[in-house]
Amino acid sequence: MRDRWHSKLYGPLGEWFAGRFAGWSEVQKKALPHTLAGESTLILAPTGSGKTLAAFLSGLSRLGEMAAGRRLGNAVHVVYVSPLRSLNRDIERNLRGPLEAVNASLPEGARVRMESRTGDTGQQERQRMSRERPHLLLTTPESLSSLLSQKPWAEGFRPEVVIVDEIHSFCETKRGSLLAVTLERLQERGSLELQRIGLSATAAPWEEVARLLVGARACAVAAVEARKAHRLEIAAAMEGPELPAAGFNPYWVAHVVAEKVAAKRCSLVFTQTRSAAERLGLALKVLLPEWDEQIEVHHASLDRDKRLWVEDQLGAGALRAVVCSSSLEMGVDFAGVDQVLLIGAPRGVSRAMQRLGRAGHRLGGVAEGALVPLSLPDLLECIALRGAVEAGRLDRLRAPRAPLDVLAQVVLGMVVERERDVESVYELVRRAGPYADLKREDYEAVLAYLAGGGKVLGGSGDYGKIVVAEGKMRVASRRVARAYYQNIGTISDDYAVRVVTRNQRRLGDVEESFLTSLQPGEAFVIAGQSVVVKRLYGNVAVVEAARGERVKTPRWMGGKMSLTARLAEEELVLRKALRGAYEEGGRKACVRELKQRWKVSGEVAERAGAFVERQYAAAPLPVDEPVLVEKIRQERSLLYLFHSVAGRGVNRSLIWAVSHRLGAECGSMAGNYDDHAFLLSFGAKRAPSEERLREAFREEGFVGDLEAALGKTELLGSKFRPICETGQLLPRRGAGSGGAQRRSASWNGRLLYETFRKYEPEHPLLREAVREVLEDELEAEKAAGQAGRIHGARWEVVELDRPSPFAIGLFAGFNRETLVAQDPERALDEIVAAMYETWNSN
Amino acid sequence: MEQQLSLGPGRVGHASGALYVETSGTLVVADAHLGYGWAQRRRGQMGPVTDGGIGERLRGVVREFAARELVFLGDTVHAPRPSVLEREMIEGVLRGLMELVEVKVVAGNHDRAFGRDFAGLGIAVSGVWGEGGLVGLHGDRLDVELPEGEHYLLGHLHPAVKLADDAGVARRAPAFLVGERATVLPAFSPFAAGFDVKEGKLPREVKALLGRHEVVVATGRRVVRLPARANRSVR
Repeated sequence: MRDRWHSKLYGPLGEWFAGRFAGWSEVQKKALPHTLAGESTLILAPTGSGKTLAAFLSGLSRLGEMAAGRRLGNAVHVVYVSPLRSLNRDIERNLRGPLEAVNASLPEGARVRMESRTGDTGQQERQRMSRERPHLLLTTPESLSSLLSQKPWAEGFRPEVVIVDEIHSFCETKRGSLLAVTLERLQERGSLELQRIGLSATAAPWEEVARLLVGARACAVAAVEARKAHRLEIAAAMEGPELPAAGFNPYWVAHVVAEKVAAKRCSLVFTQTRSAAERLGLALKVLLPEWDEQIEVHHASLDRDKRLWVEDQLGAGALRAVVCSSSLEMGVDFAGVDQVLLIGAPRGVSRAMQRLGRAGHRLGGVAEGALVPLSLPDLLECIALRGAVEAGRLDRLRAPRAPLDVLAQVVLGMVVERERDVESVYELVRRAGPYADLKREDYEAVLAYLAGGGKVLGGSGDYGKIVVAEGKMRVASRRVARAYYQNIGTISDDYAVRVVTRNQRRLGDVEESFLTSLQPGEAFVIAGQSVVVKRLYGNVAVVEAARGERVKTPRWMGGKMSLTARLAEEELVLRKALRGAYEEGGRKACVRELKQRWKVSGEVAERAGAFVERQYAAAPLPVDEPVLVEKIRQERSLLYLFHSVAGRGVNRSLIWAVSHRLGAECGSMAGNYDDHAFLLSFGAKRAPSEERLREAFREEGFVGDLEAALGKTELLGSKFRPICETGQLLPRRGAGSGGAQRRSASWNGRLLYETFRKYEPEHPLLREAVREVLEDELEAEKAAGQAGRIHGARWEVVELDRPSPFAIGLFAGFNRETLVAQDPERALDEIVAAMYETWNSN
Repeated sequence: MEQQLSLGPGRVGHASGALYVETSGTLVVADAHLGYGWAQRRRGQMGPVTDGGIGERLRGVVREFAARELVFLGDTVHAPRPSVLEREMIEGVLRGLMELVEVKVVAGNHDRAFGRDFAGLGIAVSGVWGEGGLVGLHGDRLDVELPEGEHYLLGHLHPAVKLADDAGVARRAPAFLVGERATVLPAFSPFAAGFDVKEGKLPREVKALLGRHEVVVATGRRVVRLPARANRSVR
């Protein structure tokens, strides 16, 4: 079959396509008119819809035509950027066919070269590539950013098309900010307007994604129906009478998962944390010994070779099940996967859809999946989630606003590349979507910081990374440039220790803090094996197989995800429906409601109904209005427990701001928070009255009070180190070799934070830490709204001896914080004094 | 609030981390690392350049004891070959002290070039300080040589201890390690994170010299001996 679009493609490419596919897929039909016309295009479609080719056909065609016309230079003409290295490998594989078709028509010396360049690329390869440059470059934002600054690549780019894959995944992170400016730098190298093609899963609002791709420029949108057919089951077939109220241990559900795995050919299992992936992987191997060799674990802390091996095996359909955290949630095409299992409620609608989309990954495929709740609150969340997934109601994207640490990095990168104009860099940066509203004074502050100035130094800029003079900036020294290359990126790991076996086989990395928490001889699980540390030197831990030792699972930071606003809304709708039903007709009405309106199985409905009934034995089912407040008296303390389905960022803001407002009058306070509730704990004698407490929730001045409270927390201090690394103030930990040595030679993050706070509180990186915590972490604006709602709502106060069933998750989450409202020195004195008294009184 | 605490015959520990020797009127401080922010800046780390209030703290404690001499027990400065402004800051601190007290420097691993870099100040630099049976040295080369003495004052280690209250808030505080034959002083620098003596292993030579020892926390405002049972959990 040939039609007008075939004829618009470079001949051999059109033939290749016609020979392989019966026709155009829906997304191709929508995208090609734009992409072939050279327009920047955002392609929104689920995985498996043929969107990769929709994106590449125009670029490949252009390369073919250029090659045929002998217009290819020794330069990159088409760039593909993806968030994952594994995606690069996959794309490279998929493009081999069409590229060979193009090249077959071309004489030897005129062929199109394609290469992948990522952090994994070896030194020799890099050098070869800088001499003989690929025409089609597959890369990551970090590698691209680095290449653009390197001398051997000064003439290496003549870009016409850039394709950004899974671009939605960049939207909510600082990687996106880095990417957007990097695209502007790429634009600067081309003589024509760069054609930008973004590939995205369905995202809301799509304008946010387009802004990242093109800034304020025009962008065509080719979108296909968000909903791919999902068959989504809730699997709560537990042994025994009920789910644990506060599960969190994947062992609980291992046999349910095992049953599901046994019923299908190839399952992809997502857990919420890497440690849960390790534990469940191990449990499945025990429960399904016949497939022991075909069950693998995959997450970002595993060794690269091991990861690649698992991906290859999965692609080849040689595995029965792979248990992963988030590492396999994007892009790579595993045609063999016929089932996706989500362990624990995935905390967000978009995330769930993305993961479910990993099954039935071919045109018109049905994503078959199951939600496996880990606890009763999880079960309700899963029911709400399923409703949203089936209706295709997505989470709204939230992009970080003009992060100054990334700005420092990209400005330095541009100056490392060559001497720059202060004015033109400002203009370039502001063309990137995330920086469109960058304030001049913020830009100047970042330049002053990079130039070594600042309050303490005044105008003396002789000791900086850049030199600014007469409207120009240049890099201060070659040493600065070297350090810059080693520290590109925005992802900051906890200091990682490499775990190897005695014969030097690398198993993966764990956080140093975890290793130091192990007792001597205590075993832990990594790469699905339990091991004990035999020797620890520098950043390497030598391990051997454990035999019956007590096993711990490593914890990795950043694994815990927060409930999204959308899912919180969905859950409130469900809670209100259940509350209405229960109060009208008891448990039976609840079950009926669930079966009829929420379309859940009888078994699941019964279980959820029983949970609601159990809740009513203690207190009403918590909703947003009235606000359920549990007042719990313990020996010497009084807890006020608020149900607030708002996500943990908001709830965390609430305990901080409220405790700050109550101030010294209530003595010391502690707080807990999770996605659904928070509590404040007081000494019984000094606990505030309900009226006083209500007053502390007022909306006016909330953000300011939260910011004031933050100054006293450890939260900002712990955020500060990664910001300093991204902002090029400190060397990235674990980067390069000799980790321990590098570490000892750099500032301690917390001390650096305290010193800045004291001497230079207006430093741009410090302000970035405050911005990030307030906006991205704590969702301060939303929290202010929630505070106002709680302030104005009717409170349903119940006095209890222990928390109600719906509050159990709060205690299982271990998000306890001490809300000390005093200066660190005094707190320290009190700690010492408390310790002293403890020992004296014994 | 206890600002001073006896650490042994004629030896008084101060909340600031300094140690006062009563017989000779000597104030001893270890690991001041003057110019830390500057030195890091020269390696490309653009942290703040400030003395962190160290000059004021030193002058305060010198006045409090009305000390006759002040001995820096090694690592007086952080790095050799100071830049112009770095030198200005360091010399400012040292000159301010020299107006109050006689200043002596025991060389540490960070200030091997101190004598050369700051020759203009005319401060006496030596490898060891002594008074009666009391011997002060930095302590980085204990494996090589140990002069005769009854009790040793050492620096170099930056000892600190992490203390957690019932609510689980943990903070690290500088600490003296006080044994029969030796005392290790905490780092006086406000920028030293501290070597956690609960988590890390003491170097063999220090351990041998210290033997059974107490941990005395110096928070800046108080100096507190952790009681015996707490100490046992420490070591």
